[in-house]
Amino acid sequence: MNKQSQPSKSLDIPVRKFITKRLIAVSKESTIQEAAARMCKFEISSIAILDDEKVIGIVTDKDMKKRALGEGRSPKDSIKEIMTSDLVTVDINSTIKDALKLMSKKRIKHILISEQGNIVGITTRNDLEDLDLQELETLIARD
Amino acid sequence: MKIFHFSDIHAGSKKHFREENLLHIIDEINSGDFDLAIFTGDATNEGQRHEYEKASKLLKTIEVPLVSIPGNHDARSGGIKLFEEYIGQQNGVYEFKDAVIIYVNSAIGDSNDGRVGRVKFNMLKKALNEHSDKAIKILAIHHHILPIPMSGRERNVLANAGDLLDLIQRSDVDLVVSGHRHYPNVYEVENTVFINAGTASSEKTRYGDVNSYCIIDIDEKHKKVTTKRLNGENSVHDFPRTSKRIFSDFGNHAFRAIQLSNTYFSDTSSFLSQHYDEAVKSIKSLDPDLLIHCGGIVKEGIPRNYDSAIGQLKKLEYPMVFTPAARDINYMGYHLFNRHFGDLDQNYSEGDILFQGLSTPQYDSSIGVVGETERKALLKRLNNASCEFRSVFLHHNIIPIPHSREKGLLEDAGDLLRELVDAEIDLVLTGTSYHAYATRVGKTVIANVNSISSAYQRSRFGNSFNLIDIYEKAIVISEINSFWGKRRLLGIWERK
Repeated sequence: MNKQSQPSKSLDIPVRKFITKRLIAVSKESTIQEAAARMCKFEISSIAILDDEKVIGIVTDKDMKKRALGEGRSPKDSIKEIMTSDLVTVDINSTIKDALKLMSKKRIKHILISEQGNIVGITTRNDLEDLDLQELETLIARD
Repeated sequence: MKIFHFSDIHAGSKKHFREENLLHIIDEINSGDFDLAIFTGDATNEGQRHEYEKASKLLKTIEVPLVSIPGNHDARSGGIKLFEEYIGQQNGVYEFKDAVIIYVNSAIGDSNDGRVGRVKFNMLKKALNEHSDKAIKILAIHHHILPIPMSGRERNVLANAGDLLDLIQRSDVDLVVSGHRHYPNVYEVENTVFINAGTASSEKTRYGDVNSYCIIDIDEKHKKVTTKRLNGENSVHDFPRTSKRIFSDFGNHAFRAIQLSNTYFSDTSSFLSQHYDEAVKSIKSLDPDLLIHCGGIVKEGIPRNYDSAIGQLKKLEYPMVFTPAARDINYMGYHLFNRHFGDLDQNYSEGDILFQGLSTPQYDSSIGVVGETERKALLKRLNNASCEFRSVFLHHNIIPIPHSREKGLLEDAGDLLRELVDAEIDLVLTGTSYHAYATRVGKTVIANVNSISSAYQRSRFGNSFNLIDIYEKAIVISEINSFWGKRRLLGIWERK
C-alpha cells in the first residue's frame, strides 16, 4: 500500500497522468505571424508544427523572441524558419523524474510526449513544478 | 483479446435467481474462444452461506480464467468474509498477456451505496501507475461510475465517483466494467469505455428487460462491445482506441460563450466581491457573445440578494441566460427569479447555434429532478430545432465531478444523460459541485463550471469561470481564474 503525504513519490508517477493529451498546432505552411496569433489566442507558450498529421517541429515563446524578433525576420516568413526540428520527446509511460532529467540535460523547458511513437501532448517545466498540488486533485477520496 | 463480462447473478435466492439463465451463460463462456471472463459482483442475494455455496459451485465450472469482485449484496449480513472463502480476493491486480485487470471491492456492509475508501483509492492509483505501460488497462468495480438509464432514482452510486472518473481518465484506462443497476449500458468517455453488463440471472430486471451480458473484443485499433440479451437481441458498439489529439485546423470561429455559476450575490462574506470585479474585467476583455449562468445567482432567494444581483450584473453588458439552482428559488426565490430574470427555462439562439436552459432544482432540496414530462418536452424541442449546434444548460451535474461527494446529482440523471448523448447534443453545461471539469461522453461534450465568486469552492485553481469557443471544426473549453485571469485548458474536442 502506498503511504500518503510523500511528495517525493510524485516524481515516480508516469507523465501520462499530468498532461492534457491535446496538442495545439499550426501547419508547416503557416507564417510566423499566424503561429504567434494562435499562441496568443490559446495563451500557450509553445506550438507544434505539422506536416500533414505529423509533428515536424516546435516553436516556443523564446524562439519567437530570439529567432523571429531578435534576428529581424519578417512576420510573413515561414514558421519553418524558426522552428526546432530536432525534437526531444519522452514516452508517456516515463516518470516525471525521467522527463525532468531529460529536460535538464537538454536544457529545455518544453518537452513533447509520445505514445507508441506518436506525439500526443506536451508538458513544460512550469507544469511539472506545479505537480505536488495537482497530485492532490486525485489524492483525496472522500468517505 | 476477447473478454466475457457478466454481473449480478444473485445465486441462491429462490425468489429471484434464474439458474437456467446462468447455466446458459456459463455454457456460452465454455464453448467460446474467450481469453478470460470478468464477473462484476452480487454473486449472492443476501450474503448467506448457502448462497455462496451455490454461486461458488456454479462459477467454478467456468473453464477460462475468471476475475470476480464482490457487490453490495455480497456484503450483506457480514457476507464479505464468505466472499473470500468461497469466491476469491476482494481486490487485486490480474495480469494477462499485455493486459492488466485491476479489480476493486466498492461495497459497504449492509448498504446499497458504494465507496472506494482512501487506502483502496491509493492502492488503485499505485496499480495504475505501475501498469501505465500495459497495452490494455481494465478496471472492474461493482458500482457504476456514470449514471445508468432506466434506473429511476439515481442513488446508490459511488460516493467518490468524481475522483474515480478523474483518475480513470488521467490514467487512460481502456475499459471500466461494472454491474449493480440491472440494466445493460455502454458509454464512451474520452477514450475509456464504461460497460454495465446488466444482470446475468436475476429476475429483478429494469422495465421488463431480460437477462444480459457483454462480449468485449479489444485489439490495437478497436474496442468492440456486444451486449447480448437472452431473448436474442444484440447491440454492438465499436469504438476506436484513441481519438484526435493534435489540433491545427479549427475552421472559422463561430461563437464565444462564458459559462459561470455560483456568483452568490449577497451582502455576506460568502460573496467575494473583489473576485467578481476582477472576473468582470477578464470577461470584458474576452468580449463574449453570450453569458450562461448555471445557477447559484444569489446566496438565498430573498429580495435584498436579488437587488444586489441586479446591481452587480449591470456591470456585464452582454446577452445573458440563466438557469436556477435551489438557492435561487428558495424562500421568495420563485417569484423573484421570475420577476427579475424571466422564465425558468430560458434559451438563446443565434444563427445555427442554440443554448437551451433546463430548470432542475426542487424547493428546499439540494437534489435536482427533471421529470419524464419535462425531459420529453426538452428532447422534442431539441430535436425539432433546426440548429446545427445544440447545447443544454442546467444547474445540476449529470456526470460525477472530482473533489465532491456524489450527492447533488439529478434524481433522473441516468435517463437525461442517455437521451442527450443518444440525441448527439453537442454541449451540456452544468454549474454545481464547485469544481471545473470537462469531458466527452459519446459525441456530447459535458462541462461543469466552478464558482466564480463564492467563498465556497473546491479547486486548488481557485474560483473560476469557463471560456467556451465554438469553431467550425472544434469546441475549445478553458477555465479562467476569477482573480488573476490565469487560464488552463480543460479540453479541445472535434465537432461532430
